[in-house]
Amino acid sequence: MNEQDFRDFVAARSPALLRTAYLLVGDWHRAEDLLQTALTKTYLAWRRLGEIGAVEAYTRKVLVNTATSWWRRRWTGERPTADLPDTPGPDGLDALVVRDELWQQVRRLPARQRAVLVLRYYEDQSEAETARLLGVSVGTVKSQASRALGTLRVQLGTRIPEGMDR
Amino acid sequence: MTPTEDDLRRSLNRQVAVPPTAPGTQGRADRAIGAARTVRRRRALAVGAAVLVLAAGGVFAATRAGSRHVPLPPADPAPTVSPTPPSTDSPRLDLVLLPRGDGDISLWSAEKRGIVLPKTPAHVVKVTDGWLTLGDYGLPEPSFWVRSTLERVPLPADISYVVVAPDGRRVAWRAAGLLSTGTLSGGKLVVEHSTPAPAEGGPLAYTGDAVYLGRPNNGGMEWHDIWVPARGAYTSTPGQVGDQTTVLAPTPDGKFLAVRPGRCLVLLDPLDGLRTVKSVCGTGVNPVRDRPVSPDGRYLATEYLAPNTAGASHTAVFDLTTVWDTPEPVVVYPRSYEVAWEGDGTLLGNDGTGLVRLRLDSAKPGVVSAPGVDPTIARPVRRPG
Repeated sequence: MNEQDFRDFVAARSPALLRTAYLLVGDWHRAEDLLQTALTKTYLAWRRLGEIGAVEAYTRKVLVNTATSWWRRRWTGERPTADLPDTPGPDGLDALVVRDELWQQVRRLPARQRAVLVLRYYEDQSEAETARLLGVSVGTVKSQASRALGTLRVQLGTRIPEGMDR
Repeated sequence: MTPTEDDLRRSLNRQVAVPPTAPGTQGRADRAIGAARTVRRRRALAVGAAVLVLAAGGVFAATRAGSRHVPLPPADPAPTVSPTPPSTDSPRLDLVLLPRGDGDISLWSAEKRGIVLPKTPAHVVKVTDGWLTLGDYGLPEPSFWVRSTLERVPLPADISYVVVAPDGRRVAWRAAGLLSTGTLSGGKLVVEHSTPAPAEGGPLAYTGDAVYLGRPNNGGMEWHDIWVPARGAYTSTPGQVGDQTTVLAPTPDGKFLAVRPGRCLVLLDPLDGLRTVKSVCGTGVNPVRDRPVSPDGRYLATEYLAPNTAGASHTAVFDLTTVWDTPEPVVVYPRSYEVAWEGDGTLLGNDGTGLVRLRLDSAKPGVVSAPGVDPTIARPVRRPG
């Protein structure tokens, strides 16, 4: 595959990858940054990746691992973002999502638990594929998902404001 | 599918139902190709440097199967322990070398020792005698003290929220339902003070005298408070819930540097009820924890977003002797880097594509290479504080 193939891949798939990146890091600017890093690594590996299916799987794996790795921790939910309004959200979208209490609780989860939820419930990946993407065992995926869902149930059980649209 | 799972699926899809106004995908491809070419050039330089070292000193890097310590010894039986004098562009900090695939994380030190770190740490912090390799922040994960002798000292099994004072010896942490402070001494973590811990949260910064406590989340702090061990047990201070203060770092003189909404930089006195000693607003400082203060306490390296602008953040340095009167950074670098202070005047950073040295007198990063090290996977190890 040549450079034009890479450009075609970016044009076709980067919008979807950006959405996944947003769910992993919870901020559009950082999602764009994360996607850019994943695309750079993908281009570095481009010639050995072969067919396009392998390329997308590789990019997604880089995306997830970069988002959950400690050296990119500043993209994760541990990052306090007290006055993000200085960084405007796209088209008023942030003002909309801020009302979603469930999403707010997802953002508070540790990065790896959040990644498991995004892969399982947004990307519809199987437990085995989620484990492969994260480089962990299927048992770890199950336990992380269980722990994350348990946290959400506890938090939502005590914190959902009246009239909240879930 | 349980109701929670169902709600979750709908919620995740709702967050991305309206895509952002994205930059052109053509731009993304161009930037990726450009960055990849830079990485290739730097890798080529690193390989070249490694070959030079091999030729000059007979130094080799070996990974012994089954060994957790991987020395990078001189091959000569009569080693001259100075393998290669560091060149001016060599890093003067230890480096964490990130794993390729499912491999181990290792450490590259100026003493030419490669050390495979126990488990896969979430943080590595330099301490006076070695390094702390810590689990994911706030989570009880296996953590170790790897001493300079390479002895591994396991830390308590459920330890979390581990923070190190600027002196590199005193440590605060949460474990077994207690908040504790102690000292790394003689191969032991010696507990000096303990007190019952609050239900959630733990130490976020430590001056050596006062422990800043809290539980961070995306919207700021759920709560924050202060514990001064010499004054006795921790007691919750009323009115500290929902605070928007983000402590960046302790200072060598025992204060905390913090950011409040409005990008206000504040200096807090922990021994006086977190009283605001100094304050200046509109600095452009992003509220990101763990921003380092220089060893002499004069400069703060921080993530910076120029006031009244949108877009990418940058790494910037503020002079803490002048910022309270003139809230302008001394220097703003072209990108945002993971940084650590090499000395009082230079930072070592990595933006994911390579190591750079950032000087206070220039906004232009200088490329740094370590012999045999792929700079794209090398991250500077933070000093304590």
